Amino acid sequence: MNSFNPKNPVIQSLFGAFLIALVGVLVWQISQGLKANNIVLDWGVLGQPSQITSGSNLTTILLGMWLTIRIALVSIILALLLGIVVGVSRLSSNTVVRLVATAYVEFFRNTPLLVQIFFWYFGVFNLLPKVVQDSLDTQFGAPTVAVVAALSIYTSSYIAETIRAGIQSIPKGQFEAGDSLGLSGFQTLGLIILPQALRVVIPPLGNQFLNLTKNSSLASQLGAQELFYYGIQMQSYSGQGFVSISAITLGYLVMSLSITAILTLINNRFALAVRK
Amino acid sequence: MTQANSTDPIIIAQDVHKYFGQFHALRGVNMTVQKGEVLVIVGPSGSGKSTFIRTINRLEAHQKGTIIVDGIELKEGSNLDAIRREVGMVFQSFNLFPHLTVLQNVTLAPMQVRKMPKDKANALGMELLERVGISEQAQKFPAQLSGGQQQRVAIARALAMQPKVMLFDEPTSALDPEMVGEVLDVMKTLAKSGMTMLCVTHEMGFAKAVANRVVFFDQGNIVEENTPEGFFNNPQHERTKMFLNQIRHA
Ligand SMILES: Nc1ncnc2c1ncn2[C@@H]1O[C@H](COP(=O)(O)OP(=O)(O)O)[C@@H](O)[C@H]1O
Ligand SMILES: [Mg+2]
Repeated sequence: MNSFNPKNPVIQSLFGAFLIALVGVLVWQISQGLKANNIVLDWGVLGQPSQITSGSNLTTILLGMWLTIRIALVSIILALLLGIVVGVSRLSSNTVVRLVATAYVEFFRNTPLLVQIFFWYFGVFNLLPKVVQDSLDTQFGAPTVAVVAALSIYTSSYIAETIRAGIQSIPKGQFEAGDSLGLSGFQTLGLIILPQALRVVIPPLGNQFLNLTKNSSLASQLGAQELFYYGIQMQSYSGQGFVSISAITLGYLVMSLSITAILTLINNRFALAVRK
Repeated sequence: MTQANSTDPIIIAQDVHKYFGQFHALRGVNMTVQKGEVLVIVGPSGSGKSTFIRTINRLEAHQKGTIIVDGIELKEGSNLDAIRREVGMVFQSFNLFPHLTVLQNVTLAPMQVRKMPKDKANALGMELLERVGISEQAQKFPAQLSGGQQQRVAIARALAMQPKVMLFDEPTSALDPEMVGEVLDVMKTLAKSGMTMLCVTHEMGFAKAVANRVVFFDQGNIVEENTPEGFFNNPQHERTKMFLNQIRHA
């Protein structure tokens, strides 16, 4: 075959060699730049005792990552549940339900996440009864609670739209088959429509989960001791800016790639069978 | 041919009107179906055949007239799920649930609606799949089956609710010609077992073999009702004659 075929092994290895060369040039350029500015990269700083937490600086970074993971996991679950409820409500035959759901989506999609985080922290949280405030604060930390609320609700407004599109992509005949078997509306939705709609929307849902995880770095603005917050603290105590930012970057990269890997597994596991 | 008991109506439709917006799709349909009767509905495309049988299980709501199924009147606020349990439906496009196995497609409604325990539902499901000749495919997914097999699963799925009436909306129209026979055979067996059936189909052989009556729809109403022999050999209406000429030369 003469035509260009991107799967051709020769083209693939040429492309791979080109990429490696490019990265090489980049690394060399950066190291030259660091040298020219008399900056010494000291990766050993990660092993030195932390001035922020117990253990080494690496411990600090991992502690931050652990809070980020917990914030992201809880928020992803809440955002998905809320998103399903709101997405389904967007298609309700009840006008009031539909309008409320539409208002929800438009409100939370069209205001900045950082503003929403502050809204929950300085606004809503302070309106809670004092005992509830105190118990939430001692159990989870007030900033964490506000961030989880903001991230879940903000992301759920996007997920709701994804779910709605997923439901609308299911053929009308599936609803009719459920109805004609005598299943209730909820049974048809829960047993027939959503299991299919969720399969369709796994890739766009994954994007929302990734966005949520990366957006969680905004929690640092309230002083929640998550990955970005601790990374920046480490930078100011150690003076090792490049190393600190690299550690932060690597932390987010590991979490994002894990989410992608897990979703790929789920996607493959639940892919609808096709005729062989 | 099955013998229908002529004093025991299970479906009574009186002066049924249906509008889609401005469009008058059903224009005062009257029909009584006896228990055990097999009715074949024919008519040109767009004449309201699907719309009519879909009003029988209220997939479409009618705006005027009365429909009574097994003693329950279909209207706003009546117990729809109760009626739908008694009326099975088979669609042109099968509408099997693609994320469930063949057996799960059949057992879903008995388990969820009739609250049948899983082992009982599975036994019932396998028995029904046996009856439609696809028990070996029970663990496959619908997409792994041929069209004819899928439609037989759809029939088994509807039968699993042990309905009193079965509605068929052009069950063989989406099938390759070589698969039509296997589906019609299942339907014929069902007809001979005494099931009340309303079938929208243009399969003359099926109508002649098992139908008690043939009903001809045109422009939203019944134009002619006849025995299968009378309908195909000696049609009364001009429009029926034209229609029969068309399907014979298709
Ligand atoms: N959901 C709908 N909305 C608007 N018009 C419809 C709808 N369903 C059917 N119709 C119209 O009603 C008429 C009868 O349709 P249908 O019952 O499907 O005919 P048939 O099954 O005899 O081919 C057609 O003109 C069709 O276009
Ligand atoms: Mg039709």
